[in-house]
Amino acid sequence: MACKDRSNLKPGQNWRRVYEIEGGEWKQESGAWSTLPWSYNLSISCNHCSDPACVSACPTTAMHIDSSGIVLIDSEKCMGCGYCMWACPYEAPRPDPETGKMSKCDMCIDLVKEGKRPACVDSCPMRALDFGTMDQLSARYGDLGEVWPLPSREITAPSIVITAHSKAAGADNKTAIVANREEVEGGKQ
Amino acid sequence: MIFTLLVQFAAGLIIMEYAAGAAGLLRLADEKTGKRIQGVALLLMISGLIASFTHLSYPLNAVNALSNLGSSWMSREIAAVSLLILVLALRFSGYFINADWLRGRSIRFISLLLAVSLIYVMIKVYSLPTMKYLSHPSLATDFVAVSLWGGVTLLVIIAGRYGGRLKSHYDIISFILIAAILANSVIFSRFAGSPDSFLVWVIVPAILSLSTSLFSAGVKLRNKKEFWSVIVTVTGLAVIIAGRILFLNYTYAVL
Repeated sequence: MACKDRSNLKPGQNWRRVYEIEGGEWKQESGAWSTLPWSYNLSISCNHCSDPACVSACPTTAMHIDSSGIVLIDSEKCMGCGYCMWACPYEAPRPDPETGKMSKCDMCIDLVKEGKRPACVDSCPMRALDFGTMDQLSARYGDLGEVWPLPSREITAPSIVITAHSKAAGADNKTAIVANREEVEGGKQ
Repeated sequence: MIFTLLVQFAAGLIIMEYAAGAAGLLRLADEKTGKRIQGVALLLMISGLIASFTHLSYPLNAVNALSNLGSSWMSREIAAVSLLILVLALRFSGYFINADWLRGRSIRFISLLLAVSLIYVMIKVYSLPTMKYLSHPSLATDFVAVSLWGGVTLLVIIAGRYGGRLKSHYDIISFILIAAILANSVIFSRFAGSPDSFLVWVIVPAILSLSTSLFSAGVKLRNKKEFWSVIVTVTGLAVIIAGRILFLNYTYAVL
């Protein structure tokens, strides 16, 4: 909500999406069945990748990396083809329903330039989100950059580290599903 | 889908024109046929380009689409389409002005190279590593088979009576290409996990098209053959459109 509020996003234009991952199993022990359900949330926005697929795919060069490493969209150039959304494995670019041009998280670049933190980080009540350089984040949280259902970090080298839920780290749990797919996919073309 | 099909058919027409000419199945010296082939290919390409604008939410910025030729396959696709339109327009104008080189072997070969390049570039546009269902080998086979099927079908229709030897081969060529498209649709639907009910929409016209083309290839009576070839063409087109809808409906990104 802080992201939508700060960037004045329209309904369905979700720069940051919270995936609700659910799974579980039934287990029989000593003749009795027990259920073992689990769930975790995954808050995902643009990861401002080191090798962003959106930038290389964009035919107009509207998608670009600025001098500080933040991936931005030049709206003056964008023609709204949506190819960046196809190319991004995180589906971070989303169309602006009013202009038709693509939009995405700009890491609150104006706040960052003032030495502040992005709105999502400052507003998270559980302090689940943090902000810093990759060296700082790796020192604090380790090097894990993918959990289910995120794609391999080999594709785009995302600038993200994750402290994984105990059921998320292995990415081999066959029962996991995205429970709120309809919600998080809203706003896609 | 409209842009892709129109442009693939146009590229296929140019490829099949060259192949049929090289194989001696088509009289390329015939001016009327040549003019029609270039005219139809040009019309398809321009219609495809216009249709592509419907993909754009902000078409006024389409002029920027050639800005990233260094890394964007979509930029390269637009460049390839533009170049092929230019060469086809030159070839077409060659039938109205007195310039032998516009109807010569060199420019025909250049348009062949551009048509092949265009199909390759279109395959690369969709072969994104992030779109795991589209990054499947069946996509390339489908694009090539659809292009060639569209090309040979248009060529047979356009060439009319000058395409006599080509026409006699049409049913069997269509059989091979539709069989390839069907096989790819089955492989793709298994890979993408689409429901069998959806695949039926591809299989039913495919069975009609395949059986009709086999029957038509075996029927020697000229008048009946025309009728059956129309059935082959219509059902073949239905296979292609159903296959494309299958691709579009079961193509999700990784996340």
